[in-house]
Amino acid sequence: MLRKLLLPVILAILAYGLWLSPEFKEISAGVAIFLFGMLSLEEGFKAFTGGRLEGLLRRTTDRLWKALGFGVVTTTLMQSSSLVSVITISFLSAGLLGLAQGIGIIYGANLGTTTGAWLIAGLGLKVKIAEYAMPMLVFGVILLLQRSKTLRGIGYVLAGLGFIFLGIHYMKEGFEAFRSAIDLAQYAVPGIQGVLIYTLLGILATVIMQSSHATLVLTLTALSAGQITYLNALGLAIGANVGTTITAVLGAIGANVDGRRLAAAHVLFNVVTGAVAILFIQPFMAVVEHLARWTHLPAGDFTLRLALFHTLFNLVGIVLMLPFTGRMVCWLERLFRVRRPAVVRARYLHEAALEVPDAALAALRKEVVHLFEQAFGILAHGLNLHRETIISDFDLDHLVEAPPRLGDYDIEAHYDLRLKQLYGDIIDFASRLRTTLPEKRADELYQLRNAARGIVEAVKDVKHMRGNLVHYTSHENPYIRAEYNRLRAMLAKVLRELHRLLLEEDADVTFLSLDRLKVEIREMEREQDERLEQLIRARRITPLMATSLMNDAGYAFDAAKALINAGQTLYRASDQAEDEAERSLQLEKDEIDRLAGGDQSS
Amino acid sequence: MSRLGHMLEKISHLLGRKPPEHATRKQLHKLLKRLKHRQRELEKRCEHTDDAHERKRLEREIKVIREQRRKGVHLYRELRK
Repeated sequence: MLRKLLLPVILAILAYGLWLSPEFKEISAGVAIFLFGMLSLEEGFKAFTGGRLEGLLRRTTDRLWKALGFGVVTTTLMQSSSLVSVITISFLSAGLLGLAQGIGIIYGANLGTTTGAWLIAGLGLKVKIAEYAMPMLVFGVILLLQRSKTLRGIGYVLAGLGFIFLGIHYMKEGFEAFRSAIDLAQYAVPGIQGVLIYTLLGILATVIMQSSHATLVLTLTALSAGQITYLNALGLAIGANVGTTITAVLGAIGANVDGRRLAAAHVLFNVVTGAVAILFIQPFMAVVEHLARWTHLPAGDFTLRLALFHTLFNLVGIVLMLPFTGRMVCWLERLFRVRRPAVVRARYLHEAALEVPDAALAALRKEVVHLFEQAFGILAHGLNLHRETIISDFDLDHLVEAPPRLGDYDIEAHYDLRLKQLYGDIIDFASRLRTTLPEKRADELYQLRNAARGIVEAVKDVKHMRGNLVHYTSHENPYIRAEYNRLRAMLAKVLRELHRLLLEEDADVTFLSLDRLKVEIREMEREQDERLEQLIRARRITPLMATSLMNDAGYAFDAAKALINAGQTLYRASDQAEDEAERSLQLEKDEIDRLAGGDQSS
Repeated sequence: MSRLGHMLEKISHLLGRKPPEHATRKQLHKLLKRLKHRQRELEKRCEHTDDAHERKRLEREIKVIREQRRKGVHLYRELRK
């Protein structure tokens, strides 16, 4: 209720302010343009996150100090700690980063983000940056109309910087004009009381704008125009630092337990750092003054002093918190425990995704991959194999010959627990998406739904054959045992290849290499038919065994084909043109049959 | 298509946006080169292997790649026209 009311109230206050004061209008427009610039900048950097940043993240975050350095450098370059936090959370959720490394990146991002204040105080307020904004916007917009992802990314970055510069210019102009109309400095509150009040105001402003950069630039422009006192500006900077955690907190609401742990670490770090800065504000000011004199900063330049203060208290925060990172990780792991859900539900299908077709289809694709991940475990156990065995590089043909584990694995119960509800969520989401999706994208949706159905049917096929599989793989007749082991090895190979393609993104397994698997299966199917006839003729197996084997081979080959088809639907190359090229070379059913040397009727 | 749509298409063409076929053709060319390289690599491995099972697996893969390349070359020529 409160959330619903908040937006109209803010809009009404803004509308009243805009109507009342032309200066306020200029400042607000400056903030809006600045925020739009930040969004554009983030969008631009996202274009470069498809592999390069991730690769760098993987290589440079294996140690805490490296993670910290990574946080500083990337946030300095991108000028967006939010984007770095979001990428960190996604990597943490994917298990590619440890919580300690994630926390290291967050520490670094906090320090990296302070470079923004330096840039604004050092350049933004001293140089007429609006003059640079116009060419940036022109070139930026031209580039972002390009098809190439890289050029589009550069375009967004340029346009973003252009808007940011323009926003700062408007804010500066607004405060200059404001000074002649009203002196805000008369509302300054002296002493620690002022610091506390302005810290709260800084938190509030950052929570509303969801950007500490915006609060800082407002603070710096107001400070340079003499509209707020230096002490109150320090309070606002501390508040901005604490308030910025709201992005991480909001982001963590929909995240998994690792995301929530990281968000909590972020809040903890910023609150502790803020508290230290407030408690020791006088010593901090003295150190800033000392450093300012030492670096020959002009005596009246409070904006650069504010930037120095901002960097200093974040640096002190890192020095204070770094030795306790290990303990903090343990504490957070205790605080946010992983609760294994009784029933597996969809991870990526949220209401918000339905509004954007691209996002909705991407979420659906990820969810079907999640469904495959869940089915993988069930299928592995259904075949009396360990998940790890299938993922490993061991020769599966030999592995299946090992004495079987005769566990009482209840495939039906696991299906109910891990697949049924998840599959239901996928079907529900796909049906709702169908009503909003443009006609030309409908085919993609049907293919994804079919892929999900294929995965579920593969589990059902294995469920049907499991009784005989358990029975005959421990049977004394070596012929029937070998036949069932061949079926197990074949399905395990399919699972291994798909795991490498979809979950490990192994470069050796490609969309097109699945065609080889199809040919192999077709060959196996034909060879198995021939062997079955020979076994029956030579009375190596009983007629009862033969009928069981015929039925179960049917289930196994159906499951393998359904899984491969699902894999080919789910695979996406990083580039659309590359994806189209690969799909155009995919072999048709008759070509597979011809290569397998079999007939074309089946 | 609306007049605005036509105009935007012309502008994007002027700005250097290539038609999708161009991108696909370029990627197809890259992919064919990659497949050719892979085929050569597999053929070398096939020559040096003594394991019959491994040889059969490699031959199967070569056969599939050859078919994919044949299909790709045909498509590439079509696109070039």
